[in-house]
Amino acid sequence: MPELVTTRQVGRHMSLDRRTFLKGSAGAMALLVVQTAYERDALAQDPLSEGFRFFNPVQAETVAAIAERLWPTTDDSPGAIEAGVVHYIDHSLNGPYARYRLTYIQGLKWIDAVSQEQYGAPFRNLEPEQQDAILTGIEAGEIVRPQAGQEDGATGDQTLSSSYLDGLDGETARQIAGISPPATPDLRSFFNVIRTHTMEGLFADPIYGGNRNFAGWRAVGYPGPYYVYTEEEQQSFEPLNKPFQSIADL
Amino acid sequence: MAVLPKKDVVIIGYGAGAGPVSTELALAGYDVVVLERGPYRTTAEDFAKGALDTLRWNTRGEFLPPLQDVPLTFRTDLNQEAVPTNYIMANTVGGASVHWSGQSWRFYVEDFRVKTTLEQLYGPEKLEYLREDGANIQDWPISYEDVEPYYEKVEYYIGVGGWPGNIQGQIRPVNPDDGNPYEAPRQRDYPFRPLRDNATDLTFREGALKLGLKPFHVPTAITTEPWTSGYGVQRAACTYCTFCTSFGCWNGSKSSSLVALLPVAEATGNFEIRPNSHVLRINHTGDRAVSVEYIDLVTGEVHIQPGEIFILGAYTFQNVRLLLYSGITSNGLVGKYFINRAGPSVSAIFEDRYLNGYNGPAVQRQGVDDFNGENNAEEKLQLPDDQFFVRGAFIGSPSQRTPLETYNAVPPDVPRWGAEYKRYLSDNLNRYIGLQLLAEPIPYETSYIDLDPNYTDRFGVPAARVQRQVKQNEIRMARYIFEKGKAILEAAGAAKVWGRDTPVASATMTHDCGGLRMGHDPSMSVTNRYCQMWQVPNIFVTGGALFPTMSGHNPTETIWMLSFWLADAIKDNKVNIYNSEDFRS
Ligand SMILES: Cc1cc2nc3c(=O)[nH]c(=O)nc-3n(C[C@H](O)[C@H](O)[C@H](O)COP(=O)(O)OP(=O)(O)OC[C@H]3O[C@@H](n4cnc5c(N)ncnc54)[C@H](O)[C@@H]3O)c2cc1C
Ligand code: SF4
Repeated sequence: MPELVTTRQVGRHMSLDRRTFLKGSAGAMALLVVQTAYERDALAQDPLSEGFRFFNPVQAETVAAIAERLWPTTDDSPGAIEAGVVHYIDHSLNGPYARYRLTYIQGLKWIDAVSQEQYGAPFRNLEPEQQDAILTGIEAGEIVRPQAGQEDGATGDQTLSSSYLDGLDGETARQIAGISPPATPDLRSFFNVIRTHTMEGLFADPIYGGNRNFAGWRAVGYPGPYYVYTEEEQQSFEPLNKPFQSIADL
Repeated sequence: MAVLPKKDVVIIGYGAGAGPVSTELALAGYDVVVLERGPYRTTAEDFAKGALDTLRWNTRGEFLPPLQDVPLTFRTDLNQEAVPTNYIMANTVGGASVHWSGQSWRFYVEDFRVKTTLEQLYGPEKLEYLREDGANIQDWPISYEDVEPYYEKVEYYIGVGGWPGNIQGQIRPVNPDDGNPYEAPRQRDYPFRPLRDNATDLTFREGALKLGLKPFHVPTAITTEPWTSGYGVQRAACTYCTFCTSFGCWNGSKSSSLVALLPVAEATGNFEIRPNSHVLRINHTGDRAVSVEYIDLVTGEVHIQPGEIFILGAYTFQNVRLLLYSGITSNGLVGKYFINRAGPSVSAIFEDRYLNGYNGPAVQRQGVDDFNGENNAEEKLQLPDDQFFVRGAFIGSPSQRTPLETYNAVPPDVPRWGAEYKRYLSDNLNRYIGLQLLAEPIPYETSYIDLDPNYTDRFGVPAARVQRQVKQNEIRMARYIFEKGKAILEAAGAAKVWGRDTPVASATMTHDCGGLRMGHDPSMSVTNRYCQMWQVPNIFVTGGALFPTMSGHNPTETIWMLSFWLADAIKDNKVNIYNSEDFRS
């Protein structure tokens, strides 16, 4: 897939956003596809202390806060942050998911604005219950976008993907259509995107930067890729308890 | 624009349908060129090493074409504008036969004469609701007996394994517990056995047996032992890796045009495949195709490829779109009577066992045909009039439930995120079964493919626009099949069963058929019995677009069968490429 976000669009958002975003996007042209096992092992234990290539620190913290509510730390099982989900999303936005960059930029801005309006603080600083209330409202379609952000919707033809155009950003749809897509950007489409990407960060192979220490697979009892399953394994009605492994271990 | 040297046979697209005819004609000495818009991926280079990666092949869909190249739009309501929708078939040499699942069947004897069968069984009064809904059901211009040898050819030359359900009238002659007892009679056993049963299959089977049904392991186009095909192609046994549906097989065990047919064609020396070649248009003189225009997607150059015979193998949507854009409409019949599936869904979790559905390819599957076709005609006749329906569905027990492919399979009362969701997946992901319910659709006057007036691809060609509705028959069937699926899982001991008892129409769901109907009558069909276009006798069609009616079984073995059938018709001079009405039956 070609890079779908035009320079014009990125440039415009750069001027809208902080300098840090400019810094963050410097590596944006590097097409990261697969992270090596070596790189995975070398990563710091605290996933949020790592440098991000796309997100600025505030965006990274907001993504982390959302992802952690979607897949929270429970008793002995790591949540999305520890599983490296933010890192996975950051890497993806620099490569195959470049078309979602504006979805994130706009969505993160809006979710903070909604948080300010409702609780007087940005999303990342809210109590978990408050964060859940906002996410629940967004998922249910009750929170559509911030009151103050209504006019931002005017840029909608190039921002959030609507559900039936999932996978098509404004630019692609225009290419197909020769017209603007009838996409109305809202927080629910952002929620669906970040939820999907969070699950990918949990359940995709660790070579993609998430699912650290097999946190996602461990939680649901999936050992990872194996070339062979025996008849005995296949016909068992008990957990197989095979050792976890990654594509990098095959 | 370069005009290239003329070829005997020009084939557009190389997926399932194009495979047999191109190999057979190349073997018979024809000079064959194939224009395929996808890249040339191979088992050795692309799948042997990189296949076991769900994010890459399934989630991110590396096989799929850019939508700008093959756009598709969809609507149910003819008064609404159609909206763009996703296209999910592989863009690669071998087409969707590379990333398909491999569930492989012969159609029933009655599937080739649905109209006659329904009239005989039910009579006009019972069928009146279908007429009201604009159903247009026709018999095929061929019978099962005509094409049986070509089914056998698919099984022995491409590779399909199973337990025989009926050899020359003998039911389950080899394994009294397995094989589809309803299958059409075969002359010969399968060349090898199907995949083994896994925990999911054993569970489904238990439920089906308790209800007095006749479960069987589905036939699969996957080699389960080291095997040499009729063409001499050597294949390795499946290892049950489970990176199967949506993936290219790492081991070459899953039968495809790529692994089973292409090497044979290439070895002839008079066959050429040009990947990355997107066909834009067929140039013709009204009743004679002269050449095709295609763009090399790497260089951007446009070429003209003249030929004597042209064969469409670009899947239903692109086949129809190409013809319409080229101005070949067969009096408005091109694109009509589109059929794809719209069925219910049934899922369950078990508390008393793990099923570990992450091991076992999707098509490792037990199933029942007790509610398929007209196998349950007597029961249907007992239904009240407002529940009566015709045709039916195969019900089976797929696997391939890895987390990335299954995290959305939660009951409606479980949230989709948060601690409760996490706990639910932790407890239940490996206890999950989701059935396959292959509901047979009915062809309607209002279900068709045409050119979209609003959307074009990046070459300026209008998108294929799909209109498809669900009507009374689909709605009634869905409710009935839902209950049957639910009953099987409950009988098997499921702790919780949920699903949807209503059908949902969509543009594409991988069994997209009709649109270029074959038939007896040039005024009612697009091709004759040899897949030859009535209007332009040197154009032949492959693929499910030919089907006048669907079946409650997957289409691909029949697509391959028709392609072998059409190859023989050309080789044996049963057709006249100057006159489509001058053929030998
Ligand atoms: C995930 C999945 C699972 C499936 N599982 C099963 C199953 O278990 N059993 C079963 O029977 N069927 C199954 N199917 C369906 C099966 O794949 C199709 O029936 C079959 O591949 C259709 O054959 P075809 O030749 O018509 O089209 P395809 O196999 O799709 O081939 C068409 C080819 O034409 C090329 N093309 C398109 N447009 C152009 C153009 N303009 N110029 C040049 N080339 C072009 C495409 O790139 C493609 O390679 C499955 C499909 C999918 C996607
Ligand atoms: S499960 Fe078998 S057929 Fe499917 S990809 Fe793996 S080895 Fe190939």
